[in-house]
Amino acid sequence: MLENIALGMDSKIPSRELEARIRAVMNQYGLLLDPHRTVATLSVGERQRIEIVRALLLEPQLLIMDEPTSVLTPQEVEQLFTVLRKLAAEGCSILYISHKLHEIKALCDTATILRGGKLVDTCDPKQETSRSMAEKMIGTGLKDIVKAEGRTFGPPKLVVSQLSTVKAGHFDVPVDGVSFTVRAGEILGIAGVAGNGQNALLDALSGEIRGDDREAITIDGLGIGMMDTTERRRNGLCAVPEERNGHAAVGEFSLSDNSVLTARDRLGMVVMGLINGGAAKTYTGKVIADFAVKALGPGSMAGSLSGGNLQKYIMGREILQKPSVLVVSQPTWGVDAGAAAAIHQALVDLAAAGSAIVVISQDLDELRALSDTLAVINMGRLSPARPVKDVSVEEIGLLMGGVHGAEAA
Amino acid sequence: MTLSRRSMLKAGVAAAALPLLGSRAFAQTEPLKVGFMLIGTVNDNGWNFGHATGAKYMKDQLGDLVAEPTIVENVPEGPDCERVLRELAQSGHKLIFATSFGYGDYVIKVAQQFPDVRFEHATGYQRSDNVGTYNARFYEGRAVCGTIAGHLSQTGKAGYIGSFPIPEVVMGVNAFVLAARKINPEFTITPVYISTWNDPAKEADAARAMIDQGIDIIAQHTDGPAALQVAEERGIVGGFGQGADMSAFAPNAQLTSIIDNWGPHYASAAQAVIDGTWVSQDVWPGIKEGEVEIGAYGPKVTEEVKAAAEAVKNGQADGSLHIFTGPINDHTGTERVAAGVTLTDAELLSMDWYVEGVIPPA
Amino acid sequence: MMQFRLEKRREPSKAMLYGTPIVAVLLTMIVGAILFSLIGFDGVGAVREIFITPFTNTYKWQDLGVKAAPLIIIGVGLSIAYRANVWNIGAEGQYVVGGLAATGVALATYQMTGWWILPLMILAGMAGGALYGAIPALLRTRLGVNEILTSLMLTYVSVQAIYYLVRAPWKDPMGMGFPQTRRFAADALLPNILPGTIVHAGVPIAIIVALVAWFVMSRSVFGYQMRVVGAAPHAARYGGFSENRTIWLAFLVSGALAGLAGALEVSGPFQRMVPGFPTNYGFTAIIVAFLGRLDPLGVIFGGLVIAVTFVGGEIAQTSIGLSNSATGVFQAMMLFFLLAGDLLVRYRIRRVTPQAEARA
Repeated sequence: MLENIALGMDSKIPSRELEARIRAVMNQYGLLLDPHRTVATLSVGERQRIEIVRALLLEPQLLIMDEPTSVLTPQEVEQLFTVLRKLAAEGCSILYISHKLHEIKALCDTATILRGGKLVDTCDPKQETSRSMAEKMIGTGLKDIVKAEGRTFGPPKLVVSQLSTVKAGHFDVPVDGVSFTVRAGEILGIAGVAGNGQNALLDALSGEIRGDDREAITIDGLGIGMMDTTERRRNGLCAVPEERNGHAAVGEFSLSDNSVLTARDRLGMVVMGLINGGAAKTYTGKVIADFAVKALGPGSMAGSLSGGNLQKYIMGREILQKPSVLVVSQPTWGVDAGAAAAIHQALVDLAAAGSAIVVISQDLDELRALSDTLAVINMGRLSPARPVKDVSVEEIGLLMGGVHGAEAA
Repeated sequence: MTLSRRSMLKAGVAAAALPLLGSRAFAQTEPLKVGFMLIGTVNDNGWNFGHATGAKYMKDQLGDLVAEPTIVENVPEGPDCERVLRELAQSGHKLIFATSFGYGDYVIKVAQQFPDVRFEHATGYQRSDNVGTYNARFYEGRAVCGTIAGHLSQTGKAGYIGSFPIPEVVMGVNAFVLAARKINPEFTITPVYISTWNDPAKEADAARAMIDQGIDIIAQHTDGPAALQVAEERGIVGGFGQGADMSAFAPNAQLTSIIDNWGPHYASAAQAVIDGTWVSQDVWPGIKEGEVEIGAYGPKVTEEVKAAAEAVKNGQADGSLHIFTGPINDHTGTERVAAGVTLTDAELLSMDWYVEGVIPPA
Repeated sequence: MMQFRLEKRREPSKAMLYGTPIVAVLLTMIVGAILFSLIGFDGVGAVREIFITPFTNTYKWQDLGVKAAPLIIIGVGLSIAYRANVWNIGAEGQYVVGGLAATGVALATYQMTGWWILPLMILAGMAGGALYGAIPALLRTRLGVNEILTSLMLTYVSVQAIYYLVRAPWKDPMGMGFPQTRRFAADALLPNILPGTIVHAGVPIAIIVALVAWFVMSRSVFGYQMRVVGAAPHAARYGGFSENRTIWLAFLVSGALAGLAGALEVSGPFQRMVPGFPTNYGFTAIIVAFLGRLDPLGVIFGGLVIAVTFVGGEIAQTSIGLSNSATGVFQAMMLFFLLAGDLLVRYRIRRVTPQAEARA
């Protein structure tokens, strides 16, 4: 930690003096860390504290923070806010950029709302509601997610038993004996701070990592644990990874070609080794229309779409394949509120039609709105899934922090 | 000068056909366009330089009767040379010299398409009505070199850097060691083949490897002075210039050089075409005709050795000495040429065995 | 004062993508003419002889076709491999092994006749090239060895194989000891398709290969696989395409095509195996592949352009005495302008006035 901070300083300060100043700052603001710990051993929340300490060492008059809480547990968020309030009380100005409106309400004195690069409004968040600010952000009325009341779930569709992966590389967090069941029509949310095995879990479910236990993952009783992605898709499992450009979609390809990437088998776009370009184009057109993707047409390059639109396209591409199981990771990360709402509704509708859905996300609000049941992943291990109404934010926060994480300061 | 019986016959037939040719002869109102196809660059200071020099000589001798000769360099043996030959023929050249063995197949092919163009193929063996071959008795030069080597070498070991084990090269190796053994009966020569006519890096590598094995005289049958430069650098007894005088590169090491003097042949061939007397024949002149010249002797060559070398040179010139006169054994000790018998040109041109004293490559 | 700024385009400009090769050739002609005139040669004449005459002289069209054919065949194979980011630099070696395989069949069937001999030679050539390409593929997929090194080094091995074979087991018994194989028997020779010319069957084969490859690359799953693995390997895995399998396919296909070119060359223009068989087609084809923007149809254009510089270079030597090295200079200039022009595909040049800068 000491070395990393030294890197970020403008001038060269002798180690001992630097350490003394670090300890002083940490004491002053209640951020407790050991300066000699290796960064790789720290949780993401702890790493963020290093950033804050480094910033504080420079004795700033203006501190700009960009989406600081996406990697924090609720407890850690509270700690951060305490530090920020203290800093503000000492005369520092803080510019806090976030899309999490309740945080802005909790922390900020004034809020400026931007849309499309233009200034829309300046308001007092204490007077506004989250909803009114969200509506200003997207410019139209915000639709609530419509979830039918009193739904029942069907039989278990996706059953995962003791799923594990092998550690791949020095900093990888592998999946460690994860088990859960998702019934038809059910949405399971998996919460967790980034870097706790979410990527490995998604890859293990989608088939990019193939296991050696056929029955570790079953769909409607069929063991798919050893199948590759193409076969899993054929058997009804579609997946959406976290990274849009370069993983879920190919930036240099057209949207039509991107549809071929995952939908070619399920939707019969391949005939005798040849790709049916017309079928791909038609399907892509449907996705664009149904999901209101702002693009020039199936031929536009995926990389030229905005983040939100590309995500809408990707989600649409998978959802319209009518998978019986859909696994998505960070479905609305970096997506504007309007697109996020549309994606959420689409997921709910898909579940209502009988599919089993797993949503892995760092956004607790999203998970609490979407999920029927909730589990928490920490260091590759999964907590037991519980109905979302039965779990409090504090409990989730503690589970997210796990053994590894925050000291409840 | 020895003409094989076959070419004698051909010459006779061609001579009989002369009147026909003559009547159809082209009125040489404009200068004759002569083309030269070279396998390397004129700047190689060796084989190709020799041909370019010969071309210049021809121009100097014939003046306005011939146009400035067209020289095409770096033509690889293969379909590319076929294209160049056709290009030369199509653009009005009436006499074309193809100066490397590998061009042979293509010369014959293209010659068929252009019956009114004359082609001459250096060091080849295929002829047709409008394709002749010419060569130089390099082996006579090798004999002179071998004589010098036999006298001056301290280890009695020589090395010979060659391109491919073709008769022309084998002939040279054999002539060299036969001459050396007349002075030193224990003399040996080690040929090394580098599979190309011109690659200074490989030539230098081969030379260094030889020197490391105790060889102190290096001869080469490749197109450049690389081996000589190594000889100079390492200070061994010496080497020989090939195709041209290479003393500029190795003032101490070059003992003498074999200079290809193509000029006179080029001039006479061009004159023959102009006069309408050109016939397809196999021309193989040597020291006597001035086709092969022995260059100046280097500083290490003593008067005594010079005299011996001159004797061998003159002996070949006046016909009293032919290096391939028996008794000659091959490298296994079996007699191949009986005492007093001289190998014929045909036997030389198909020579594929080494004489005693050659350490054949593995 | 006028200033220019490079601005990244949203989408690569299609117009520039197809325009830059043409612009590169034109620029080469203009700059070449000026450059050579400045150093004392007939610059305009050089450009005329090298670039224009091969087209105006109908005799030369056959030469263009014959020279371009192997470049196109090998270039198409390389364009497929390079699209998948599989860097097969050993096409020359695969070309040689293809030629050797075809030679082997020709020599084995020397006494026989039959329509099947030539197709068998061609198949042997393709198999030989593919197998030789399998070696770097194996080393890369099993042991992670960089394929650039292995494929390149194997080229030298193949050339030495020629030297050995033509000197010992395959030497022509009637060749006066010269290192070469026999001349192939009639049924082992590639036929001329236009009587009276030297245009052999390899020329239309080259066009067919390019057309088939274009179709496969743009319409088939195989082509899609190559493209997606090269563009985004992680997405390719997500889409169900195995990287290892792609490497194998890329090497087998490009190796087979290089071997095909070798078989056609040895049975067509050469008609026997000689030490001079390797003429760097495998390396020149790399330039051809990039000149054609790694698209099989573009490779036809690229192959023709390079063939023009070779054929034109010889014309220039015979007609105006331009030195042989000039050809190399023109080829290098062309590649340079092409790569520089690539900039315009991804970036736009914007004129910037001081007021705009101040406002920004």
